[in-house]
Amino acid sequence: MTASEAPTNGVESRKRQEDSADLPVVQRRYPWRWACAGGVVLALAWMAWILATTETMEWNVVGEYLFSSEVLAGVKGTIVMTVLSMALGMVLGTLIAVMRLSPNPVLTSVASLYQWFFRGTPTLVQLIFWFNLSSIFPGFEVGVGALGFDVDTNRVMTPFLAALLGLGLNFAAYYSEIVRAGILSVDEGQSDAATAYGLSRFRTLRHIVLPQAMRVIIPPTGNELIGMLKFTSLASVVSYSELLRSASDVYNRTYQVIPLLVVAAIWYLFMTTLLSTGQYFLEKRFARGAQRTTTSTLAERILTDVRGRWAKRR
Amino acid sequence: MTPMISARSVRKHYGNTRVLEDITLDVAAGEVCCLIGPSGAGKSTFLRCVNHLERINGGRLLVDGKPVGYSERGGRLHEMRGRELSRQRSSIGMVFQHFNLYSHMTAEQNVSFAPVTVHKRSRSAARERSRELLGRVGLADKADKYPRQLSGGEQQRVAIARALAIDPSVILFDEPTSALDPELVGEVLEVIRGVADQGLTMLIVTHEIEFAREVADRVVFMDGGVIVEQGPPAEVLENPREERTRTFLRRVL
Ligand SMILES: Nc1ncnc2c1ncn2[C@@H]1O[C@H](COP(=O)(O)OP(=O)(O)OP(=O)(O)O)[C@@H](O)[C@H]1O
Ligand SMILES: [Mg+2]
Repeated sequence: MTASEAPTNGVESRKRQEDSADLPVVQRRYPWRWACAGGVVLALAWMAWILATTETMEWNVVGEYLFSSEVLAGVKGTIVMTVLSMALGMVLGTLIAVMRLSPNPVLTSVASLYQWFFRGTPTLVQLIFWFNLSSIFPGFEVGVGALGFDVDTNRVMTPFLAALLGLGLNFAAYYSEIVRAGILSVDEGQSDAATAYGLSRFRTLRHIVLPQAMRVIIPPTGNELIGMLKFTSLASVVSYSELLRSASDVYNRTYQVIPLLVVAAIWYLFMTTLLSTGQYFLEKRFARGAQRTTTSTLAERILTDVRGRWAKRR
Repeated sequence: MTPMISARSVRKHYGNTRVLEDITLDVAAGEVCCLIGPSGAGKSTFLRCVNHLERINGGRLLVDGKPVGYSERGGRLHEMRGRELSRQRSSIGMVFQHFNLYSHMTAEQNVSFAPVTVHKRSRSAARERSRELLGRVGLADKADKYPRQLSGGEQQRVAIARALAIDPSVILFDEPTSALDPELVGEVLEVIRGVADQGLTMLIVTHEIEFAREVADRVVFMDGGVIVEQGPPAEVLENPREERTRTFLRRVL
């Protein structure tokens, strides 16, 4: 038995035990694991106690604002901006990755130029640039000839749109590299086979290459998504109201800085937890046909163990 | 009768490396033609040219009387666009050395994929046909397995079923057994033998000389980008005329 085949959870090892029924098997024990776990629990409890009893944390203020309408509006703003700018970035990023890998030199150069510019300039500068677009182009014309009409840039470039463009276009540049890495990770034989059987370049990409690339694309995407969730706080500079801005609006009024930052932190933690869970399920979905098992997390192992015990009892 | 594959002075180079020098070869409809030769002779490259996975740099290459990758209009050859190319390729089956099964699809999906997406067969008909073909290559019970859950020999048999599923006029085999453990070679050759008996046109690159002797109508020996010698297996394999062929055969037999 190689190391990779070693039982990964309680249920599996029990199964093995039942298989070799003739000799009683004494499972290996891990006293040091228990000792370490105990130590960690103690340390965490101590920290929690300190935090809970420190006067300056003002937990009552935290409780008061955690679900206040102002903070909730900020949470909503953060979620909306994360989802939309991610969506924009993922669509555009995939397109740019495909362009960079295309045999057409014009497309490759355009894609490289895009990446060069948007990765090479600070996101903050890009945000402010979009927001102040009106100072460069006060207005522009849409349409042709008699059908055209003038648009006032200031009216169009709301904080929302400026934040969306600033974050989304910037994200696309990074995401395109993730997608490109994913595409390159798929064996060339796969697209050879698809091409040989008459699939067009686009369909080969859509049906054969991208689905297999997803396994490589998802983990760093999860990373970026969590990063983006917190990156939206940058949008406060163009006065888009997201979580951090709502919190700072409150503490600028009440001077209760720390409790409100704690409120914001709690919400960010909550949202990132949700996202990680989503990522876990997505990864399972795209692991089809790839036998390598995802290593189980502590929570998973506890869950399978509890399920196993429960099933036994019935 | 027009030959199924007809190559006239086909040339191919990558930069300065000349891989195919001057390949002239006809494969008649229903003929089984085995291509043998040392590593680097250009056998795979020639096969890839036949369904335009590689573009030729000179000469003429026709499949079923039509130039590969080009359409003839007004006395000129126009490079084909996606759809035409796809139509042309869709009558050529290909079996790869490393199987190249779509690894995110089950065996059954691998076989029915091209019939559904390229040939526009109904999903249910394609699925049924797929199961039937998998039965024919002895894998009826493995239809729902993913490639990684199959042995090399089983994967290659799925790949052959995939080639058969498009009702091809030609099947190209590129060393179908050379990535397999010795004990798995037999089962794959057995399946290819069965296909050969049905009268399909086949171009097989192989290092299995015994197998070539048995199934081939003709054996073609290639070396250094040219065809050195060709003829019925009894001639080329028993009494080669060229010294290069003799040297090669001494080494592999
Ligand atoms: N994409 C490429 N770029 C540059 N050179 C290549 C490329 N593909 C193949 N070659 C070269 O062309 C020559 C012929 O290659 P090919 O794969 O056709 O040989 P082969 O006869 O199939 O050999 P083998 O029996 O090892 O498969 C080799 O010398 C190889 O290095
Ligand atoms: Mg080869």
